[in-house]
Amino acid sequence: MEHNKSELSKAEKDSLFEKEFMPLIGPLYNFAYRLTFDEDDANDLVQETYLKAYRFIESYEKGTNAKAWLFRILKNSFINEYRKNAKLPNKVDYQEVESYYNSDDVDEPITSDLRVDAVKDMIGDEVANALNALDVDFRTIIILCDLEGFTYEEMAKILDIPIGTVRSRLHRARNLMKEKLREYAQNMGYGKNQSNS
Amino acid sequence: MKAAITNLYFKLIGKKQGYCCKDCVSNLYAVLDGEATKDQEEYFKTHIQECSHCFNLYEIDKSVKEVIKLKVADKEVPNSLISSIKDKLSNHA
Repeated sequence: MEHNKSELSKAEKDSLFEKEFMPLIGPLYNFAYRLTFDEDDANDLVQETYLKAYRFIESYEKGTNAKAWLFRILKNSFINEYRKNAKLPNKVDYQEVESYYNSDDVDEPITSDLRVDAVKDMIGDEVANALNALDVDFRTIIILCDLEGFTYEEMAKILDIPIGTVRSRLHRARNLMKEKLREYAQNMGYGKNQSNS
Repeated sequence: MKAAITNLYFKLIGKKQGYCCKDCVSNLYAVLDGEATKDQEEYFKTHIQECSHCFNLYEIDKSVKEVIKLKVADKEVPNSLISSIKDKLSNHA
């Protein structure tokens, strides 16, 4: 990687690390936990992320987007170390996703009977369960966009995918999320028979 | 009747029920996520005043986005994680 930075002293590195990286441990830990669903794995993943960040601190430009940079390191560590593990969900078939996205049926099953008031009445556990039930790639894009507030461009960089793919993956993820929430809504009694107005 | 006009509109543009047009769907998310240009946003905001379909879609997606942000609880970072990172760094440095 090309960078024009002069070498940092240990004190400068430590100060940069403390001021710009450590305050982000909360979002990073939660991202790791939502990827792995395991506290020990999340601990390992965050620790590895910070150790790598320190090792490659020279390639980080002070004052730029530390959060996106660290999320990218964590995501790559997750893919390299944890996705090999058979217990984790498989990679999503994006061709299938693209063809779904390009069809005219997008959104149709969902919008007719999911209601705003039903969504607003959801409790945290239901929303978290719906999110956790998504495949890891869909879960990730929702976490990055809706929980962490990254821009499409930042997500493209974190995930190493084009912005068009960010959009289509987000679209599909949201539809799946709405399907899950609709199931909860029906269980709560917001059935199909009620008025949709 | 507004509904009849809306249905006719869907027929004319050759779409089934669900959304008004593909542009609206992609604008919807761009607006929702703060990624729309001024023109896109203005067009969409004007459009949903007339198109109840897109208005409903927008309201639902907006509420889903809000509910995720508001109700998915964060897990507290274990203190041992912070100290173990610092220990490892001081050992390696």
